[in-house]
Amino acid sequence: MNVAFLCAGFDRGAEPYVAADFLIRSIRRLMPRAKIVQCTDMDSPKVVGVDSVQRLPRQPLALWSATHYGALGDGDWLCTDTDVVIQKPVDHVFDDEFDLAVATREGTYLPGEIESEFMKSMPYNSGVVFTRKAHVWKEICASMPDDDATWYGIQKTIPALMATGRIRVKILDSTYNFPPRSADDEVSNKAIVHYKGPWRKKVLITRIYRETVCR
Amino acid sequence: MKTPYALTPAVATDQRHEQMRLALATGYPRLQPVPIDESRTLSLACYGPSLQDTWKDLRPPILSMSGATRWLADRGVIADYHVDMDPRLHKTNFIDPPIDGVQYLMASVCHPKTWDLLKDQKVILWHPVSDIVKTYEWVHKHDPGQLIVHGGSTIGLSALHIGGLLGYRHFEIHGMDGSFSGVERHAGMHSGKAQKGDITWDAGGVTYRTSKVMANAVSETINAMAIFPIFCVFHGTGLTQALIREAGLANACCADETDKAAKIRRAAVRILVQGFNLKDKTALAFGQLRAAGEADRESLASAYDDAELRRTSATYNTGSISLEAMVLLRGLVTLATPKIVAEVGTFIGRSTTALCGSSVEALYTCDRSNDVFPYTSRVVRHPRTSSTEMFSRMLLLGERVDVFFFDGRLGVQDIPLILRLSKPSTTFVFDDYVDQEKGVANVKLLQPFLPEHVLLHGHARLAFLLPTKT
Repeated sequence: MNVAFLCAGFDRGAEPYVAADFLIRSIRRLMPRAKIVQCTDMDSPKVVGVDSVQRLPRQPLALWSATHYGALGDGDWLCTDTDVVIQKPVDHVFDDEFDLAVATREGTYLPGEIESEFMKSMPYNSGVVFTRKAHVWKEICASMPDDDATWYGIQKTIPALMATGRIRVKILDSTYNFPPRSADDEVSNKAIVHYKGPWRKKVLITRIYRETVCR
Repeated sequence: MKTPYALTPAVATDQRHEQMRLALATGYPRLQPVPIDESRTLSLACYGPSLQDTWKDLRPPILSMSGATRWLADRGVIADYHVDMDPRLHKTNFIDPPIDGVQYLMASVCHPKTWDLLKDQKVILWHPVSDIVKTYEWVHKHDPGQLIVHGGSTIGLSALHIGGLLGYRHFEIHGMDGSFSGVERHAGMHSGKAQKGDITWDAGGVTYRTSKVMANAVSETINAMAIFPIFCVFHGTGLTQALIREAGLANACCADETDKAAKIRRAAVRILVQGFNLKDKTALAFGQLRAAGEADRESLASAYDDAELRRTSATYNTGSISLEAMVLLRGLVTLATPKIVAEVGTFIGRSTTALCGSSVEALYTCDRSNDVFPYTSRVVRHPRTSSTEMFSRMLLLGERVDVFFFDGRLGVQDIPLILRLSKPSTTFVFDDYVDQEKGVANVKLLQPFLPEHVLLHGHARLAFLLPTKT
């Protein structure tokens, strides 16, 4: 299995690099044979610990991510945001046949989220995506509305692509992309924890401090 | 308190090192530190005139020095320990003949005749620092792994440190006067060169006559009381005792301040923050750093000038830290006693030298552009090497850093490596913390990931992220 993530020197200081380092260490601990690729722009620094760096010119964020992942080629790829932590081996996901696998949001909603139009239009979070075929990403790029190329382009395009029936899709349990519901949510039994959104970033930073500096 | 006079050592460093070589040839064991026992008290018997007035109050165990050991023996008091560190021949008169029953804690720099005189006695050696760089190199080469004691300019001050190594932090100090009594500088006979009592120092409404050597020692004593986690009760009268009374320190007083002395005798150390009390105001915290570094100002000034000579060899010529910043950095390592230090931006080595305090076992330093700092013991040089490369190597070695000093611009990729090399008690220091300079950028990069550190800044262009937990 291979892992790819997008990490560049944005205006968020060192946070993406600190998170990516923590992600890499979680992968190395559980799946030491995994190949890890950093997707980035033409001049951002390499994250120490990756196996290779793929550089492409910057584009709007969602389009840039999908373009990067498509350029990785065919293979067993886990394409992930940097603000996730792998807590259990997940390479067994590729034991099944699929072109694209994403986790359901069922069981992860905060109060009021399940009824929101936002969630209904994007039933799958794109921060953790398992893919085998590069053409899936190329189709996502081709179908992505210009208005959504910066933020929610991938999340909005995936359901539409699923609906065409042209790709084989596997829906995973939420344990493979689980966002904590509070700062003290018990997540130790989840396979992949996703600290998406600003308040979860603070939770992640606290966790990194506790497990890195205070270890 | 500033040490008032610039004085040169009586014996040159090379000669001192030669005498150390001869001392090692004796094969005597080296002094090894034992854990502090808060319940024990050590009496120090210095040889100032007031020992005549207070010697009957001495309680064992007694560590005496100079001529005091014999003077006490003549009165039926056999000290448990005798300590000395003077490299000159005439000082051997004090141990000729030696006194049976005394354990001799002798500095390795002592005159070679010492070892003949003490050949049938219990002797333990220790290494005093003579030169902040050369002595470390010498010990590293000839007696690796052994301690080097930064005791100060007199044996009385060094006796406090030796007492610490013996496991004491409570001291009853006799005869540490720092001044003449009439025409007498000592309680009894002294074979050394007469010092002119041509300097006066007013304290407590009394004008004391002293000398340059004694005035320096008095300053160092007051600073030592302010810096080190020790509890001292001073007996007798003299300049030192008067200044101790004036200083109003929480951990030192005179014996006739009976209530305070009783409190100090019962006191124990509670470390709030690695070397500092962060409840203090910033200025006070910087004052603590400065006071702790002040004792080494002279040697740092010399290192400052030496470093300047390297500038002509530098490939990339840039700014360097001030002497004031060097004193603060030395104060930090004196208080925090780090074992592992990491520095970004070696350049001509001013900060490297300042950071290489006596507690440091390894100081890792890198400079992306330059290679002008010489090979030095304990300094792990990384010339023409990026911070990312150096940190990666340190991680492979399994290091955890006690103090970081950043005088180069950090990259975002460095931050996770720094966190992995850190622990909750790590202190981070940033140079050029002014305006839009690199220190500000570096703090902005690192501080968000250290929720339990607090920022101090405002002196000598330095900023400190200090731990609030040890």
